Amino acid sequence: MQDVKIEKLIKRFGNVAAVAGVDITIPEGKIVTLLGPSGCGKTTTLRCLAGFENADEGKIWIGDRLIFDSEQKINISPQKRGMGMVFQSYAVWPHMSVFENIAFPLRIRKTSRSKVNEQVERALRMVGIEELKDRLPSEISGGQQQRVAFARAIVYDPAVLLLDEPLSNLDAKLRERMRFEILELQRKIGITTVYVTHDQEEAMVLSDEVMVMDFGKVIQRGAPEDIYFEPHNEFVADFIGKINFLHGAVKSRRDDGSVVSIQEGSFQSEIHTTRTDYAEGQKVLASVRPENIIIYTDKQQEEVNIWPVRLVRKNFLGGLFDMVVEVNGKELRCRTPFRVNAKIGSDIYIQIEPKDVLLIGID
Amino acid sequence: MKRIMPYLRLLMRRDSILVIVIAAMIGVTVIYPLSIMVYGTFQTTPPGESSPLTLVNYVTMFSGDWFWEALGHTIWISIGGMILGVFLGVSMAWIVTRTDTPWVGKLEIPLIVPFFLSPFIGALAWTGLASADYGLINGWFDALFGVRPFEIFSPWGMIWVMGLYYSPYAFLIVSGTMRNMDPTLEEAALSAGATKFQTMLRITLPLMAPGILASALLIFVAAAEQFGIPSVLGLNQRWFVLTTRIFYFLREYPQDYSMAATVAMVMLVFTGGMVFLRNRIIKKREFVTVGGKSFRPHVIPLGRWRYLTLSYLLSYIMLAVILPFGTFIAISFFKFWSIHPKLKYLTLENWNFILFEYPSTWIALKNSLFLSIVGAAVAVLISAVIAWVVVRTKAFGKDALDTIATLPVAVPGLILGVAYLWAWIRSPIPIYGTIWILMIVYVSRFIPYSLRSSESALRQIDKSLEESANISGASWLRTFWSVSLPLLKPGLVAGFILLFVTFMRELSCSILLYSSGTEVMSVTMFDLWHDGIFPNLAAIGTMQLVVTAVCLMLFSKLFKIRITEVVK
Repeated sequence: MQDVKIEKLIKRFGNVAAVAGVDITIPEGKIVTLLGPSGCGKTTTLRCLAGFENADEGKIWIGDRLIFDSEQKINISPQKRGMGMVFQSYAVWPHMSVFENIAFPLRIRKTSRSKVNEQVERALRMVGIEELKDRLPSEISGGQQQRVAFARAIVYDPAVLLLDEPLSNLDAKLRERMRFEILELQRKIGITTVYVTHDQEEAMVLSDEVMVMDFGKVIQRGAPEDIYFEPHNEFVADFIGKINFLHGAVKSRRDDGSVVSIQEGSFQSEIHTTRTDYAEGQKVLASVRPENIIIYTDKQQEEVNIWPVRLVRKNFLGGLFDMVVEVNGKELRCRTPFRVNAKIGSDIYIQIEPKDVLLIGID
Repeated sequence: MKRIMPYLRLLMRRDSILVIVIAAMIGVTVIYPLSIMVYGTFQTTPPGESSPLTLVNYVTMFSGDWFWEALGHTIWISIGGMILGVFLGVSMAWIVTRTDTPWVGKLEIPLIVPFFLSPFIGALAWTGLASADYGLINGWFDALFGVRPFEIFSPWGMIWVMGLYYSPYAFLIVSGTMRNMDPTLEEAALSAGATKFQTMLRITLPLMAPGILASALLIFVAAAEQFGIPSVLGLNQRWFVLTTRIFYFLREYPQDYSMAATVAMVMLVFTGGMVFLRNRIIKKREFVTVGGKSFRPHVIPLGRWRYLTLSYLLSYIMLAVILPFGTFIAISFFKFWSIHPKLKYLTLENWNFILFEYPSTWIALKNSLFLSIVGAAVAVLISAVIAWVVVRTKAFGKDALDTIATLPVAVPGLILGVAYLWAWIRSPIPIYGTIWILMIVYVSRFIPYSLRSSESALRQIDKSLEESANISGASWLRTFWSVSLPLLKPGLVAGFILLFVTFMRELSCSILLYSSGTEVMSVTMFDLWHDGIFPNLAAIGTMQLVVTAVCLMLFSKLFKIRITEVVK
């Protein structure tokens, strides 16, 4: 087992704890993303893992090997951790050719000349830049430099691959393509990978598991779909995708669902949900994704979770309508792929199925 | 006629006219004098007369032992000064930027003070410390061990002084590149398995190499064209380098303008080649190492060694600033200076003489201030205009203009002085002997320095800022005046202050071109030195230091700029 395990990691800068007690296990061969807004501690966590930051507390293992322990004062230096890293700025050495950049880790390891050639060629092939090997970094594009950085990080078959926002300097189109290439490459070599990003879409596409971080802590971890459909708190729900929050309290709970009374200014109503996570009286956010709000132009026969609303805004995004509706002063965001013929200002109806109403407890 | 019209129209555009005017100015002030000097190398008569063209000067020079000796001396002390200067500069840059040595923040300003100090005064001051006859340090050794180990009046003395006062060039260039280096370049090597030492050797050093090499060549050229140091420390011993040899030909009877020009020609080719080489190196190996995220470069914990590195920095400040200049100021209050200065010789007599009796003092001070303030302002303004034409317009011949304006970088001050002698001493234009010839020679010699900083400042200002002034109706002149110039201000002020300091201490152009009434402070000191009146000289030198420092403070208040920003 070569799982990477981080235990109770704390890193302070002055009085601020950039990493405030992080516990993570990255299963062997999996790709895990640390996702969060800037300043959430994701990069610092990664740099502690790489050995560039000296954590104040905690332990880090690769498999059975303890590489960091604040108590026993174990701190293996970066060059002995056997990890590969791709930096946000690529950090491709400008004074070395593409070939020499990639060969560098092997030369450090005193690999024989024929082996160096063979492995560099293989890495070059893997990232698809064989023809660039004699160029200098200044003579290739950003996307190509990124591939060089990638090849350099994997050429010596490290146990763990660390990626620090590797795609954030690329343009949108290239970024999208590189996501799939990185995933494909990771699957091909089966390397344990930690990926830091602030881009939720990137995290969704790439990860076996997503760790959402905020204020130096992992707030929720899970498969991308779980994170999206079952956010545990307001922050995760809001950060991943778009969501509508309705403030209220659980009015009644039964085995097959609950009823929440909504108090949003003059919008006072009841909403039914299949969730039963919270007891009666608990203050909750009834949360609904925009795509789960169904739009009707005529009055419907259903009895629960249906409201007459006014269409405030309608944007056609191509293949998708993005709308804002208003019910007694509360605005809700809706999305639908179906054509909506209603005009701005007209009265329409929305309906939300009880299974699509999430509950998030608040204090 | 029809086919010429488009060209004619191109030439008549206002930016093209500007190019032509500036090019003509540079032509008259730089290219014309140098051409006359080159012509002079083929003459046997002084300027203004003419003889048949001949190669006799070159033959005499290349067959004279004195020439090869002076050339050898120049190369010797230049290489020595370069090695010492680069070693000091690079090691201090490394300590300041990459180690956890205490107080480095506080030492930032003291470490660049030598950059503003005149190497000429530095040499004078060091004689008070390390002359075998009257050097203070020799006195200490004499008292303790009964020996006087140092002699500043020697090639080693020259190398020492050059190394001390040129090391800031290397320090500033290398610490700048070290600070700007993307630290992930090193981290990438570490995570690839390289040790700290391997990383330094194979990543950091190669990345620093262009900066180190560029500063080495810069120091080499500066040392080779130095006149003040070898004249103070070598002229009395008749230990000549090329510059002092040229001076000798012009000052010793019988004066030989042709031979001075011929030796100057050799220097010109020599420094020109070096500058060319340096530009090639910089162009070829300019790495963009500035990264995305701004993590601080890795600081190496030195443990107890950090006190050693601290004392290294302090020693440098001690040796380059406090000891020599403290001594220098002290000398101005002594009747005699010896290896064991006696308190009973303390006196205000030197100051009394300098302030109230010596006729040249106030004239020199007035001239120096006038030349430095007005000259620096003029040079900065002209270079701002040139920079604007080069960077912003599509004027005809602007690249040529850039090259021509940068040309004087390769011309040592003394050589430009020789060229001006040849061009103007018998010219019908009555400029020789006036203060204006000094003004012109200062400005044209040092425009390249402010030009480079103006150009880089202008490149950083987005063009759309000017375009939006245009679109809202401002003329090009108005745009330059109300948008470009104010945005350029910080860069221009830095250029102004740098040139001010340079002009205040200028010696090698002035020494050949001054006449009675137009002397400047450095020249007055030079004369007093060769008259052998050290304490009076020390008083006038102290005055120059104080005036420069006060002006620097005033400018930094007035223009709201920190002195550390000037050198960046």
